[in-house]
Amino acid sequence: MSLVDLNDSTEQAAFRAGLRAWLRERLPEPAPDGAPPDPADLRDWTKQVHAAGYAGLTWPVAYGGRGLSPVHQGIFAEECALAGAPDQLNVIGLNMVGPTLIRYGTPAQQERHLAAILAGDHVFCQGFSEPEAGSDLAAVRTAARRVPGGFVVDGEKLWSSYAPLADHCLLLARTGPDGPRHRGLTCFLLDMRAPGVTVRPLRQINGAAEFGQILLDGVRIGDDCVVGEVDAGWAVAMTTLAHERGTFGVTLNARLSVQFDRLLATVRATGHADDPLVRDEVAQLHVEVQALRWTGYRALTGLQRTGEPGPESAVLKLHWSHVHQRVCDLAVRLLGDRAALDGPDAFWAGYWQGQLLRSRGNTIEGGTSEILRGLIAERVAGLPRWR
Amino acid sequence: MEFGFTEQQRHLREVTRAYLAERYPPDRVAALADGAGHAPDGWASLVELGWRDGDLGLVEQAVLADESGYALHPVPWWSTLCAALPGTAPATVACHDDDCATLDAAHRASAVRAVAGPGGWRVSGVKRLVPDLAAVTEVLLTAGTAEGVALFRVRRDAAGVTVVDRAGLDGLRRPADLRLADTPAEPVAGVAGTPAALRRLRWRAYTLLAAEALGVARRAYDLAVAHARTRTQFGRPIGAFQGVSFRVADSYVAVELAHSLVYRAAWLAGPDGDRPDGTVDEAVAAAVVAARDAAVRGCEHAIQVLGGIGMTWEHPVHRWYRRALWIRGFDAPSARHRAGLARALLGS
Ligand SMILES: Cc1cc2nc3c(=O)[nH]c(=O)nc-3n(C[C@H](O)[C@H](O)[C@H](O)COP(=O)(O)OP(=O)(O)OC[C@H]3O[C@@H](n4cnc5c(N)ncnc54)[C@H](O)[C@@H]3O)c2cc1C
Repeated sequence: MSLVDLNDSTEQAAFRAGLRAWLRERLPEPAPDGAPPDPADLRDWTKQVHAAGYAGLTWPVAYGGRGLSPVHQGIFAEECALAGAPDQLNVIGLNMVGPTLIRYGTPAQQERHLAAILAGDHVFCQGFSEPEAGSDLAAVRTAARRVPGGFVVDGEKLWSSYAPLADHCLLLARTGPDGPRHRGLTCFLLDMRAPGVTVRPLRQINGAAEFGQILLDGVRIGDDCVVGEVDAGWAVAMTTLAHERGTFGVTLNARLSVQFDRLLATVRATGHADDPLVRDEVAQLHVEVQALRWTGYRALTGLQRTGEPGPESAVLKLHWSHVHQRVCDLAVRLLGDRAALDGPDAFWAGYWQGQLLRSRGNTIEGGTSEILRGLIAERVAGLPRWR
Repeated sequence: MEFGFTEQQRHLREVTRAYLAERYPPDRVAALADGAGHAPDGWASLVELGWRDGDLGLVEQAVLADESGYALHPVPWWSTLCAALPGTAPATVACHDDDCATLDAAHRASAVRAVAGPGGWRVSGVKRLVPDLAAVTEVLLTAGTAEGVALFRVRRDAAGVTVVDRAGLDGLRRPADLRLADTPAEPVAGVAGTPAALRRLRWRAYTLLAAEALGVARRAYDLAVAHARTRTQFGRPIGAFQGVSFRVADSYVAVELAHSLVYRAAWLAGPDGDRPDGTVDEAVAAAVVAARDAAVRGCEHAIQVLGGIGMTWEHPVHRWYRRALWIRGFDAPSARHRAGLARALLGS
């Protein structure tokens, strides 16, 4: 009887080895204090990844990708995290918009964006959430009014990650009249430099300006920028969210493993390696991190076999966010009274304080934990909807 | 890398689930738990179905253990696999005694003495809380010789054997003390081979127990889901209330996470696994910690979702809760497994 096989295949091992060698050679020295690299480096890194052929690993060859399996994507995420590589600036383009355009885009849209997404020339953000439409995404109010040859858009988008740096935005707006709320929504490709688009960076609780507000004032969008059918944008939006919760889980896990290693280093550096209570907590977190890691591999295998992210993917994002928060929280507790410091005087220049603050967003972004639990209850357990 | 069941493994799971569901519905399981403690006719059909076949890998055995936990399969199969004696007779393991509290120390000391005489080996002493003792015919045990601890087997009906039944929490896995007085015993592993044999025994015992715990957790989840869909209060199914549905979702998450760790451990601890030093110990410990928690908390969530009906003796949920608590109490507590993990992560 053949068994599950948790080892790399020969081909996967070769891919991993080549990638590892490339990372070692190319990577700028990681900041010893773990501080995030600045945006200029991020765009440059995205281009280097592309030049080396590591962008769009799972995209079909016909669209400029490598046509590799989700497992390769997983290996890429793991090795990058281990090597301390910067984030992919264009995660939204690579993981969400690209696959969505491959499925729903016109040949002209594919021509215009796919290669540029891979090359890091078109950095995308996602404009879904609004002041009145967060968890309840179907309540989107941003209005796209029909005019000859296209639409005129007015409204406001919030919390859009990478918006301050993005060249384009995948925008969800209302085109249809009132009616069933999920109908009458349309997905657009918006040029962030179009007249009438204003981006205001929003400062997060950790001080960084990673996301922003997008104000849309009479912005013209051509018919050629509609993704899928007019008034059928909900299905398109759901496809992008499924991609967000799909393979991205593996990237999150890979980063979590590295974060856990930093926790171990912090346990030692703060003199807690012999503290039995800390040891117990660390071991429990190790169990959680391993459980996520191997559940991530199961999800990849499922994706590979069926082409669809299985129910494990909701588990991944949900549990990952809670475990990451616990890792950061323990690290800050280990600092004792030094946790009150920040900046240059603080342990690792305040790395953990910043991570803890940022981690609170993990249970909100990409679907709050409440929404994900509801999703599991409804879609997996088959319980009735709450509304 | 591929981490999912093969076609054959999926098939094995389906066939097993159907067999157990048909043969051991909850009312029969309950009657056995309150009565004989095991199904007297269960062993023969299990052997016939190939549950004792030598070519089953640990992953396949974990599938069977998982489904056994789901159904509360009332036979001493887990105990028998722990003993791993040749042949198909039901067996159990007796390591715990006044000088040995946990399996990981069983090669160091035993309160049972073994003496070699002209007619072969004889063992004397008391083993404590031996699982399934009443349901088996063979016992694998540790005993101290002049050179150190070794492994022996005795027949339960051999001369000098007294079985003292102890009242147990789980009516389907009952504990008993084993009193041995000059009982004839057959050597299974010598002093030199015993630590390695016990290590393999511990991996097997814990991996399959974690798989069983996973099955218990899945059953508890299913019981909660079924009730949450159908029980109506305030004019709607209670599953529409988030206080209920979130609990159910949390149980699902725990089941899925434990599943990954259990089958990874089964793969690593089996003969086909690739295992650098310490990997198996760590994988098994992680699986045990996660699966025990998933089982106990899953049952507790189920009881809460069931409301008053779940508090009655008639409702079967307490059968799984009892098994979950038995699994949690077996051998070393999870804190000790975590201590082992901490040693691997942070040194001693
Ligand atoms: C760091 C970060 C990055 C983000 N990036 C993007 C991005 O790139 N693009 C984008 O479009 N959006 C982005 N968002 C927005 C994010 O998707 C929303 O914040 C999220 O969906 C929640 O919406 P909300 O903030 O309006 O909160 P609300 O929906 O108002 O929720 C407030 C609270 O109520 C709870 N709640 C709401 N409805 C229910 C319910 N039915 N049952 C139970 N509890 C409920 C929520 O769980 C939450 O705890 C980002 C958010 C963060 C924090």
